Amino acid sequence: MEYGLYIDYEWCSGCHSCELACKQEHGLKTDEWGIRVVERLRKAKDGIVSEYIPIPTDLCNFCMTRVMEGKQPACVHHCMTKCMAFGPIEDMAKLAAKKKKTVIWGRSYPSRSELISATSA
Amino acid sequence: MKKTNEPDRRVHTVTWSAGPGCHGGCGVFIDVKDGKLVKMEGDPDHPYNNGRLCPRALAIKDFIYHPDRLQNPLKRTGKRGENKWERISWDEAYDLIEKRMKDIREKYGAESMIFIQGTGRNVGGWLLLLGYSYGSPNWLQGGLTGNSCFHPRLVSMRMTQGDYTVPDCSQFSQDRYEDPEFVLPECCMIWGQNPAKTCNDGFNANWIIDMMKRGTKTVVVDPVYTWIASKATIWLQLRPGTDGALALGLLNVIINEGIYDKEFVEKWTYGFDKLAERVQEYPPEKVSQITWVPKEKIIEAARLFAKSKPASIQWGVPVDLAPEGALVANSIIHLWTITGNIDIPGGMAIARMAYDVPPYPMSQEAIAEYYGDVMTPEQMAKRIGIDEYPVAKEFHWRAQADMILEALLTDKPYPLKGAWIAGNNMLASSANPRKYYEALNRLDFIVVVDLFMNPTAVALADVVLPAATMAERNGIRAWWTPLNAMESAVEVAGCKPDEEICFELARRLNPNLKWKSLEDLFNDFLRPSGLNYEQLKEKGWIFPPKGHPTQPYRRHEKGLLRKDGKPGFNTPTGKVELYSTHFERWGYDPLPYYEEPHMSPYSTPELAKKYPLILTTGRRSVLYFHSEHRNIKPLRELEPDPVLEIHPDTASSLGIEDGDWVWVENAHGRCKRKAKYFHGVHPKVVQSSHGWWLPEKRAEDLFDLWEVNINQLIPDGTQAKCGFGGGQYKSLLCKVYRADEGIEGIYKKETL
Repeated sequence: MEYGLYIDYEWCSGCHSCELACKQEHGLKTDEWGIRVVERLRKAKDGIVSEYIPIPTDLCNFCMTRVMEGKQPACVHHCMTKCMAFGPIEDMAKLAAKKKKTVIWGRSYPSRSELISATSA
Repeated sequence: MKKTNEPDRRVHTVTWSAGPGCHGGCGVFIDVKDGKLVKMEGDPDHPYNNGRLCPRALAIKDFIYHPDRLQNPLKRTGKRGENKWERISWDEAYDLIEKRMKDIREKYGAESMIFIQGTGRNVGGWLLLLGYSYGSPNWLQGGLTGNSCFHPRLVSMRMTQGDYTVPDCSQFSQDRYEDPEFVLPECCMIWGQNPAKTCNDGFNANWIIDMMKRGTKTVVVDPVYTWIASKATIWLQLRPGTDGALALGLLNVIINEGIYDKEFVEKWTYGFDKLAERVQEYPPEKVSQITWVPKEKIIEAARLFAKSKPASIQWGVPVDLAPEGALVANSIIHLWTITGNIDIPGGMAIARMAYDVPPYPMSQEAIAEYYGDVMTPEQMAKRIGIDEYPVAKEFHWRAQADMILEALLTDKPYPLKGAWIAGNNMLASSANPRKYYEALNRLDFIVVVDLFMNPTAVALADVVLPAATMAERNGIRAWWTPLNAMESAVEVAGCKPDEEICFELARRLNPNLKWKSLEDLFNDFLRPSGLNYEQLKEKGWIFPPKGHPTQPYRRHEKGLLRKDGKPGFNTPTGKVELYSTHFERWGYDPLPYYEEPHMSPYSTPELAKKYPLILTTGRRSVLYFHSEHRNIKPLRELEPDPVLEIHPDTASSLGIEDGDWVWVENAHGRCKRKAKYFHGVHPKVVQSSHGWWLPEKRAEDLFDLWEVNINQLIPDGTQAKCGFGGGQYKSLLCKVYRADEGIEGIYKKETL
């Protein structure tokens, strides 16, 4: 199944909760991060741009254990401005099509039913 | 079968102070395995946070099980500052403290022992219980010139409108934004507050962002282009410390253009004509010159705010820290008052403690009601600062901080001999910290209660007691709504919650204390709710029903605010007092006026030649709570250095590159900072975070406190005429120059 992590970076306030939630969830060490918040702060023609964008790293597994339990990934669950969402990639694409300043990080994972059928086989 | 990594237990509680440090009350689940916290997660059903949590809360495991966590009472063996200690048991510590405190009481009177809390909210009430049980009325948040953190706003709200108000973001309802009674504000003015980084009492500032996402427009008043300013409908970039002038200028426009709520003003306010006359002194042109905000923007913002209904104002500590902070607070109260926004859906809701259950007694009457008449009126009258400041006497219940500092140094009105300092790293956080160091060092006996060794404990403590985090505490969290139970999830060997420490010692010092156990006390406090502690714990949190006097809206119309049951506000005139009858009675100016910062290009032009930049300190970080968390690696890694934000043009003219170490200096002192280029500050303004010390450095060197503490540049004794407001943390003068070297041994970012 194809999943997407949707980020509406118009509303990412750079609070770092996704980074710390991920660390706690996966017991990551000091120099390990499953997601990083990148600050974009620069002078543009029409004023100053102040933006943050979280980017998952190779350590991110979309919290598949949580997802299998019907929960949200730890970053989405704890996001302070609720600017993140997670689900089937088609649903996320629909969200992204509706507004500017959004990104989707996609990946394919076996869904719960695919996992169950794989184990029983 | 149970999986091996599954927790044994899941405990529901709320965050409050130690741990995340903050004043919030986020609902959380704590997963416990083999008696240890494995995870803390936000409760999606709790209306305060709806699942979300800040990075400090999410790093709580690193905080609780930090190897440097204090886990034994310590008795000083060397000289103060040598960091030599002997581990003692809790019984030995209590015996020692009891003996020393009783000696002081016998020889000098109980009032010579002062009880200092920091800003941690589940410390104060218990400290007050301890202080009062001992017999001293001198309880305070130490180090704050002009009691300048929320207290000026609190006393102003009580004096002017009789009650506290907060922006209504639907927080009084479990259904939140879906509650049919709630109305989304058309405009919210965000005054000196950064909702993306920091919350207020009982107020999750992310609610403001929730509302913005739903369509609320904003006016952001901030000298700095914060992320929230980048989202504002109108950003007013004022010169630091000129908030008072801006508020009067906005009032001028609203009154002169007649865009105020005439019906509300007529019916529910007192002294409008006098205020209207006073604001004539502050036309937008003049206010623009004072504040550096373009005149058109002042007019535009005034119109947007006044024509929006409902509208609210979310304010922060710069209001208190402006010169004459209590008056600045009053001007802002007048803004939401004359536009008719009090206690209406989406406006400024009157905030009372749910069911009137106190977090701790918050007035002299409440103290008498809850803690009993533990002190004679003669003893109560010894509270320091009440002779100088009638506001402190009538509308506050603590000692006045500047007068305590004076008493420490001058022995007037009487000598002070001992201090209990709980959760207040004063040498890192007070104004003029070196003066506090000298002053406190004169005391014979100092107890410090904290979670980690810090500069204040090393420099001053005779006994150190290890406190507990919110995850290790039972209690009640009552601050506005909802009313929450706190349940201890884990124990850390050797640590005790302030609740227990203070209660156990209070019972030793006052054998007549009416409660036999903490649970007795919780049950007693909870009486108005109709539940006891066990029952509340079962429910987790509760809201009073609609129509209850502690729930909005329009209570002034319904006679739910005054003790006499008449409609109106809880003030002498029964109205919101635009002209303060209290100030008139005490001989102060009853109307707000503007006062220039103590140090500024206009008030001290000669000084400004030497120190040409305006320095604003106390920039909040979501990773740190004041002086805490510098030792929590996953947080520190994200903000490893104390930073000074400086405009690139200003920096280049001074030969400073982005990332250079610099000295920030003025006539009072200097400290090191790492320069960070930032277009979002005015070229004549620099901004810095506060509360820095370096836990990675040697305790005997006070963790290099004096190299990085920016409060050395802040003078004390700048309090407002009425004693509330005026701490000059936000509007100083300084110069900035390159440092020859950085700080050796400072925490280095790990590879990323």
